[in-house]
Amino acid sequence: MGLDDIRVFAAAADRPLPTPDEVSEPFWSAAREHQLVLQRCARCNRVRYYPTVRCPHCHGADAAWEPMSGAGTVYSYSVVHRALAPGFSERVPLVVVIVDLDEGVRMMSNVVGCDPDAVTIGMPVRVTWEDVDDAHTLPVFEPRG
Amino acid sequence: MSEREVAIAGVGEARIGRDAGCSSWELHIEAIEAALADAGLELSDVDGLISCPSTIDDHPRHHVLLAEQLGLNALRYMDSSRVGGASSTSAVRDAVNIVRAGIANTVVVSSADTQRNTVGRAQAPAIKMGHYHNLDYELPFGPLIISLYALIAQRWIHEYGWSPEEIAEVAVAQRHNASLHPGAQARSLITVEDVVGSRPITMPLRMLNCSLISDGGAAMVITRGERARAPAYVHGMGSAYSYYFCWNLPDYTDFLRELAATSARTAFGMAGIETADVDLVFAGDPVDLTTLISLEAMGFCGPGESAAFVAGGRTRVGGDLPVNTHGGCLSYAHPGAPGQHLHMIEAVRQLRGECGDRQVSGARIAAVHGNAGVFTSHCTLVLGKDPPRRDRSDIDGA
Repeated sequence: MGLDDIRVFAAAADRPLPTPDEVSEPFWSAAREHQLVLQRCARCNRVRYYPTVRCPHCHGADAAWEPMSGAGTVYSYSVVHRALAPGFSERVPLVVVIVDLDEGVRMMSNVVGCDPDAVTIGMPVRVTWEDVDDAHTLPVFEPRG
Repeated sequence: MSEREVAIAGVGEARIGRDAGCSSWELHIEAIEAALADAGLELSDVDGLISCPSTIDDHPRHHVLLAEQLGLNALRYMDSSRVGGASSTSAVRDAVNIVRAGIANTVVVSSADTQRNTVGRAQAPAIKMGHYHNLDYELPFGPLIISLYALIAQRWIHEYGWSPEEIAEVAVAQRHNASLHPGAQARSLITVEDVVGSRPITMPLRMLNCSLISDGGAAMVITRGERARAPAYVHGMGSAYSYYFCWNLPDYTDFLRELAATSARTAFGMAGIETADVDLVFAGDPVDLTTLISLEAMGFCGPGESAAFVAGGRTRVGGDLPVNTHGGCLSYAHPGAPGQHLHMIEAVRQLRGECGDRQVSGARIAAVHGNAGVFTSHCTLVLGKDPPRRDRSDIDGA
């Protein structure tokens, strides 16, 4: 059983949490400080998500980590009633969302702070933070304005 | 030099349905034995193997381990096909090309999984999600694999104004078809009301909008045409591949339909057919939505029209365009990688005229659209009862 398999089985038993690596460390470190930072390509100026070693648009190698406004709108969502793993059993129904950030990039997250059935496509949201434990903070979203 | 005639010469299934009570290895082996027996061939005739690895018993050299257990230690071709639900259609595409090129003469394609008996229904979603999707940017937020399809379904419903009742016909039709198959896992007839009133899983998808969780194995023998005693022929093949993360898709409607259409058009073009030539359709159906998108992608109806297209029982056995005549992953079985392999097997049996109560009379051309990875990987096959025409000048314009 490889390292990934161990992570898969651990995730199935409890709540899956991210494992930062050398590329994604700045993203997760900033999250712990409640800052949403993403890479902006030095060549084509586009923001990307998730953290990668090359720009997926122009293949540029240089990028700078840049704070995002945290504002966006709901592109799509699903209200999930069945817990993925036991660690989610107290949290369902939960909202899995695809957010269009104002900076022109999408990410998967959760919508918190409202009735799951109140979420709609096009709803304005802003980033907020879920401190899962001392080492893990997740960017999640709440209704805006 | 003329192309070698290549045929699907045998099909086999192993313990399809609930709790197979054995490992996926045993299911691979039993399915291969069944397919070879169906073809009237022996293991000693096999000189190629493509395995579609199992979720739980996976291994980087899965095909080698399987071959060794079968005593196949001097093969001329072997590999694993790793395209999720489209692994089996992709593997058949590759096997056809391997035989056609003369690299091997008889290639077995097998798939098997034990989603119910190995991990159980409670842990299966997280294990599968962890294998095929992402531990850092997806799993922490709690989506099931079908939640990723639900995100897409939400956009289709939003953009085209589909009602849950319209969409429900897909599940109702496939259950009708499964009720005619003695081997189907779910055979009790259901109504539109049953579907729209079923337990919410990941909205807008309810339980009956989603595929089953099954065990089972499936296999096929691809060989030179003259060796096949009950051949079905591969007339056209196409494929298309795109993003891993669903948030990177440019959009969830036009882009996904066009991606699938690229695969379908390639296969239909190679076969020299149009939609009017197709007698029955198989569409990969982890959820009902992908049956609908596949119909649009193959050109049976226009963008956004598929929910209306399936109305009135059109896709049931007995309708104008039967779809997933065995019941598909929604009602026949969905044992993971073998799920869409079973679509191809049913297509072959329909073309042979072996399907009893659910036989589509006069079936000569079946279109099989395999899809995977939340509709981002596609492989389309056009299967025919008769050999493909040799003269392609009318297709190529040569």
